[in-house]
This record gives sequence, structure tokens and C-alpha cells, in this order.
Amino acid sequence: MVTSGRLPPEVIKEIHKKDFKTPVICVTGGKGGVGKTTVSVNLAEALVNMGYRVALTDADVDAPDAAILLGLTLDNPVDVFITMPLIDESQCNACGDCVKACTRNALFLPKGMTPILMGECNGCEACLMACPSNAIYRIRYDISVPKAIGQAMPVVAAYPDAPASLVLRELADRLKDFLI
Amino acid sequence: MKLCITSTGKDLASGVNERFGRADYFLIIDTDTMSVEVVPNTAQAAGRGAGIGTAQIISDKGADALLTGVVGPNAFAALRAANIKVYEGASFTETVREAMERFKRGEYRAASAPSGGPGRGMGGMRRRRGRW
Repeated sequence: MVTSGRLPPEVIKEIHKKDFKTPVICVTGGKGGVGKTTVSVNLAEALVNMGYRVALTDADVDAPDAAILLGLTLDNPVDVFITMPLIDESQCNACGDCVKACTRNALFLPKGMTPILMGECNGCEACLMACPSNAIYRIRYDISVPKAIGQAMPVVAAYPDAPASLVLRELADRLKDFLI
Repeated sequence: MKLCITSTGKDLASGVNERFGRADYFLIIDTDTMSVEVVPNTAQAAGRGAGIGTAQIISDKGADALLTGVVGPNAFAALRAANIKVYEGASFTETVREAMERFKRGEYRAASAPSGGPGRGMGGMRRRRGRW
């Protein structure tokens, strides 16, 4: 049985006071799209199937998608917005300072034109600060996790014979030695 | 016409670098005068958006066309916005000079869509719901 929800602050405080003996398996990595969430969710599912009590904590600040993979509806979803730059053509002098300021190469300046936002903007606002002619405005961009989530299931549950499921179950099995 | 070829080195005898965003050097060749400008790819080590960054570099250098191995989707969109024609299919087995001669003979076709699939440029990350 999987549930979704937030721990009350007093409970979290209490947890931190304790000498923590429960094994913590952390799935992490800097690169996006490599399968951190997929591995986490399926590993949790595989461990649950082996009879362990598992708390799956999705600490991804950018795309916490574990709930999507589990087909869960969030209990207390909060709207999250980031800034996106909107460049006013009439004020822009095509100097390119915003393009140079963008460390993610999200802006592209075609010669003599207004820069175009085409890459992966993360809303850092460096371009706004760099613009000498105040031609860049903020627009709010909704990055909230979808509130209504359709049916989904971990692959180990949905397709127990899939190669990925075998790998994940094997991983869970090997981790067994480290678990209580 | 200014033709940009992705290169592993600084002269025409260098091998072609098949990658655009992560190429080592760009050789910008004036096909009329045969003068060559060597441009190091300062966006090569970019964590993200190397393709867009490199498109910016060669656009700023005034390139009219690009000849390389494969161009990813982000770079392709940027090159299109900059009106730079994209020619793909150059191989690392040839030198920049050989690639240029084949280009002059018309052996490369201008690409109308990026041939580099996911993994090139798309970051793999945060593609959800149209987010950049």
C-alpha cells in the first residue's frame, strides 16, 4: 500500500533527534533523464514486494515525478512558478549581453535581431540583470507538478518479466544484505 | 561564401570533427578567397546547451553555411534562426580540406531537419509539458 503526503514538522524534528538505524538508500546523480526516478520507484516497489517497509522520499527539487510513476494524487500540491525572460523587441538593441550572461546557453541571438529563448532556461534571471536597456521582462512560468495524475505503475509490478524488472529485482536482492 | 567546417585541429589538414556542439575547432573558410579563420569552440565544455552556444559563435563569425557530421535539434533550430545552411554527413575519416572539396563539388545536401536524435542536444532532462 503506497500513500503520498507530507510529514508534519514535529515528526521530522523527532526523526532527527533519534539515532537513525534504518538503512537509507540514496539514488542521485547530476545528469537529468538517466533514470533516477525510475530506479528509485522500482527499487522501492521491489523492496516492498520482498516484505520491507519502505519510505520513498522524492527530493528532486526540479522534477519530483515519483508520484507520477506511482499513479498517486498529491495530497497538498503547491503551485510553483519560475521566471522566464520576455524580451521587448522595441527596447532591445541586440547587444547580446543577455546571451553572454546565460550560463545555460538558453538564449540565441540571430545577427541584428532580438534574442530568442530556445534552450533550457532555469529562470535564474541573469539576463534581466545583464540587459543594459531594460528590455527584458519577467513572465511567470508554471512548473507545478500536475495535480491530476493518470494511472501508472512501477515497471516491476506492471511488467514483472521485463529485463528492467529483472535488473531492479536483482539490485533489491543484493541490497538485502545491507538491510535490517 | 563563408563555410564553417567542424574540425579536430587548427588547419585544413586536420580531421573533420563529426560533432557540432562539442567540436574542438571551427574552420571558417571563405570559399572565394580560400582564407581560413580558426575559431576555438569556447562552448565545447558547456554543461548545457553547447549546440546553441556553438551556433552563436559561428553566427557571430558570419558563417553562411555549416558542414559537419551531425547536428542536434537545439543547434539546428538556432542555425535556422540565424539563416545558416546546414550540411551534414561529413566524416571523421576525411580531412577538412577533403570535406571542403567534396562540398564544392556539391556532394553534400542541405539538411532540412536535424538528423541527430535524442541524446544530442535534448538534455534528456525536464522535457515535461513543453518546458525548455
